[in-house]
Amino acid sequence: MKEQDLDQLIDSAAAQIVRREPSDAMTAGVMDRVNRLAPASGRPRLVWAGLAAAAVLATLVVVFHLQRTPPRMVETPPVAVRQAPARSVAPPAPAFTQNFVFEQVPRAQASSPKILPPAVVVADEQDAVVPLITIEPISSPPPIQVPGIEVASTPVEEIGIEPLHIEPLSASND
Amino acid sequence: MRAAASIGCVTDGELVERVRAGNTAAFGELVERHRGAVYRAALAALRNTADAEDVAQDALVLAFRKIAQFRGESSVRTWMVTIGWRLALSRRQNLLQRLQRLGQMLSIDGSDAGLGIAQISPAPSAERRVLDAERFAVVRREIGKLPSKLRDALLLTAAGDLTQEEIAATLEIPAATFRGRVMEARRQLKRKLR
Repeated sequence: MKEQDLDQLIDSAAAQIVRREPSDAMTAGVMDRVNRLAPASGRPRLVWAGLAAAAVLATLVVVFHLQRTPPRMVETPPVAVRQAPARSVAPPAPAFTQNFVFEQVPRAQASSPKILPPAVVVADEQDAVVPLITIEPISSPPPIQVPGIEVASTPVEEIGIEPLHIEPLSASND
Repeated sequence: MRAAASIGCVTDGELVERVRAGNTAAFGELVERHRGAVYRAALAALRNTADAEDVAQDALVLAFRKIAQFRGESSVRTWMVTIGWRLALSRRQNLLQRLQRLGQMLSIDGSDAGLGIAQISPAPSAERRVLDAERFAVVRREIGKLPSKLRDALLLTAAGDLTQEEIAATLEIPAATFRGRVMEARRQLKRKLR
């Protein structure tokens, strides 16, 4: 048998094994099962929608709560702050000092946080600007005047003690 | 009627989106388009029409359940055929184990009676009428004797539903390996048929 005939024979035999069509019952069975699954598959979507709504509600509650919370009052002395150099390719700008004074801000402004540029607190004494503080010497307090305390003295009478006389045992009443 | 016509024009990807939105009719269209390919892949693995229909049905229902996981990295047909192929391999393994437990001498590499291979009569075509019926049966029997890897590659090719690359992806092997298996299957068959 020729090579080409053998190839044709193999192809035809293989095709006879697999080239068939499924029955309509199979398709009906698939759709029947799918239709039964369909309502169940819709449930997770409802669950996710509920969870999303709950998350939005929780976010709104948190935001409302934060808006009602009074801003914190921070009283700190002016702090020497040096701004960090920018991350751009440009050469680093010379360092400069700037004083920031923390003040109490109105409620409306407190709700929207301000984004400050990154800053680095310099601990170096050379760059720090420390305000001069005048310290008064400690003076001794004036002496306290205490009125004299009179204590009433009570006389103690003298106690007369007579010498103890012990009788011998044989002279007892027994 | 108009709705059926309109749904017949949309692409598989659009049908998938409709199914995800809860449209089961769109999945029905996908089933109509690809049920044959899924069934033939199962038939290539099992060589039994009843088992192949069971597996194909399970595969299509599983595809519906996992439709959210379809990422579009392959065609819908390849994705569905791959699901069917894996289920068919699992079924084939279970059948073999069951038969081995029963002590029946199964020749997976043997006769048509092995896995209940359907007796398929040749379709009346001009080409097939020429072939000798006895020789034809011999070829089918020899295909059954091939190692499963070679036989799977040969039969999936004969099914004609997927390209070589798609079959290779279904078998999870490189395309070159797949082509080598088909060539080796042909070589072994020719050697026995000469």
